[in-house]
Amino acid sequence: MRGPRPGARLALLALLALCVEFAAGCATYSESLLGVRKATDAGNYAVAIDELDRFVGSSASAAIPADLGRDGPLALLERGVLLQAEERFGDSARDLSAADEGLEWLDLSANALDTIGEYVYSDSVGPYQAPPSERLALNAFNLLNFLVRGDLSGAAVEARRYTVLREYFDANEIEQRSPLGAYLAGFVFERRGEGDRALRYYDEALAAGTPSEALATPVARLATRFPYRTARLAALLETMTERAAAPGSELLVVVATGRVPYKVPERMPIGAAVGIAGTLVTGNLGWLERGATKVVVYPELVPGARGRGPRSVRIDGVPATARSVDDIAGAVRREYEVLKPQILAAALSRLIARAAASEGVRAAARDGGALGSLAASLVEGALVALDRPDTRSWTLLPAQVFVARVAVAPGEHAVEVVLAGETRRYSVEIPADGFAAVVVTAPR
Amino acid sequence: MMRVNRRLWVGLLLSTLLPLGLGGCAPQAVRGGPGTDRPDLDAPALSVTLDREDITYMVADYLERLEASAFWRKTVQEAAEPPIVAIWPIQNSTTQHLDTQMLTLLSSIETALINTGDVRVVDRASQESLAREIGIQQGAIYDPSSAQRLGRQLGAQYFFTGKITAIDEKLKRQRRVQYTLFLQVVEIETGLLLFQNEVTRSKGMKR
Repeated sequence: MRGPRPGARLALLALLALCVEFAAGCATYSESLLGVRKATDAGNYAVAIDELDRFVGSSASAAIPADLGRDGPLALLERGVLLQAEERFGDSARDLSAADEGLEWLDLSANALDTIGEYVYSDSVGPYQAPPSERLALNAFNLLNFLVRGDLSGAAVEARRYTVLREYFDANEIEQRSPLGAYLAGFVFERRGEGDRALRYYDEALAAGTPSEALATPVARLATRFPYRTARLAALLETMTERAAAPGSELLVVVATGRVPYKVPERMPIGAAVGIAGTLVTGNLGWLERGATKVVVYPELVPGARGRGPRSVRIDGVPATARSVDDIAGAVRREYEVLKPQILAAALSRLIARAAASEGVRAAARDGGALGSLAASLVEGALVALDRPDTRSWTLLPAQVFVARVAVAPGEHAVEVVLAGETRRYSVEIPADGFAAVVVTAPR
Repeated sequence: MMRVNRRLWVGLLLSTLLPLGLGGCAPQAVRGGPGTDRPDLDAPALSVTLDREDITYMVADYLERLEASAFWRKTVQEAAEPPIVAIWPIQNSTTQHLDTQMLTLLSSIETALINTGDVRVVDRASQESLAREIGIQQGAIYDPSSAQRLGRQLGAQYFFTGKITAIDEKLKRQRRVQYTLFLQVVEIETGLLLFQNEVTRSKGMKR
């Protein structure tokens, strides 16, 4: 097989040089959102939303752009959290639903071009594929947007969407649960009078790590009227000494704080990376010995904003206990650790492709001397400059979620939630045998 | 000297050029439906959610069976005066947010019932405000005691209600949603079901 003709080689080199120029100004996804994170840290959610509007290509957060682009669904996930933090729940539901729809299409898509691109160029050239932890959290956080507006029917839709995904992951042997999703789905179906279904979700939440104290009362309450049992539910019921009261009217306060870990470009010596990635690397590792690059650049997970529980939750001035129901940051970390060998293998495979390409140029240069070496170095340098590790992730996803659930008399109630650096106050009206939900999202 | 793989060069060029070269195709609006150049515009499914074609099919099936039922021919058409009926929101038990579709569905049922001339239909706006007044929460499922309270206030004899369910499955690169619309007529005073119909429709996505 022959290499390209001299004219083509020259054109390719010129193109690669242009790409180096182009790539020099390209930040990775997480680097691009630095301003958004800074504004979020300061609690300036409106400023952060403006920044994201520019990123999404929308003139205002009141709209979804017609063409979302490659990272559009991901940017809508980010904006959805900020809109929820701003208590613009309708807009947040619109963004999260559009992101859900966009990711749905990606799940079903197969794009050969992206595969070529990933191999030589960068992982981030393809459309964003959300990991299971994010997919399940999406429906849980969108469910809150409906619950807070008293729309139990809309919340139930999100609960079902959560279930479809969880079953999809089960069918594909992906072990992933969302304690928050299961807890909220249980709440929704309990309020809808579907007790057995609610118990199944509460059991799932317990299995996924929700502390039993957070579920003891609703489980005991449902167990008096509905027969569904598992060994976990039975064990929980045995610990209950008091008889659970009828459901009546109740208030649900959900507090989501902090931000999950996110990815940044990091370097690792090739030898160390090969040690972790092992047999997952595709291509001939021998090429790397000829390449000039001795480190591999990959996306490493770094801490986001630590999610602290609310300092206090008061209902009509009386303290209520807010319990942790989901450590999303922990789930993201565990998921990354499982995937890390594959991530490093992908980075190494690209490195091998680049070394092979530069070696190809050296071979193609007829004199094989100084010009060939220069061309080879240029090609390798250009491809290294173009290689941006895929740092995409739902960076503003809250790290921790806390829930306070209190039985109250029907009527108006004052709710106060004190967080580090801010206090939020609400007045809610609760109908007889109905509910109200207060959602406080503070992704900082 | 090493030989260069031609496919590698092609891949390199494609992966560099195509991301830069794509785009620039401006969207174009088109008009469709009966009386236009594109009468079949509504025919293809664009997603797994319900569209107007599905709703039209479901409502037509429902009405055909309703009008052929013993309840309609004997109880409604032979009544001394057209009975007053109300429509309780149809429960969405699917995996899709169907707010707009539900409005279309309810309005289609309402239109069809009014146009039979056999029943008088309560205005839905006043029904909703009355429901709020007597403390029925938004999205509440049909329950006989609430329905009886509301029905008496409205002066209605029958509620037309129902639910739409979906079995939603994903496997590899396929997704299928099987919708079933259950519609029923409930006598408000007794809570008895006088007529029930179910109609199904499936939507799918595949790559």
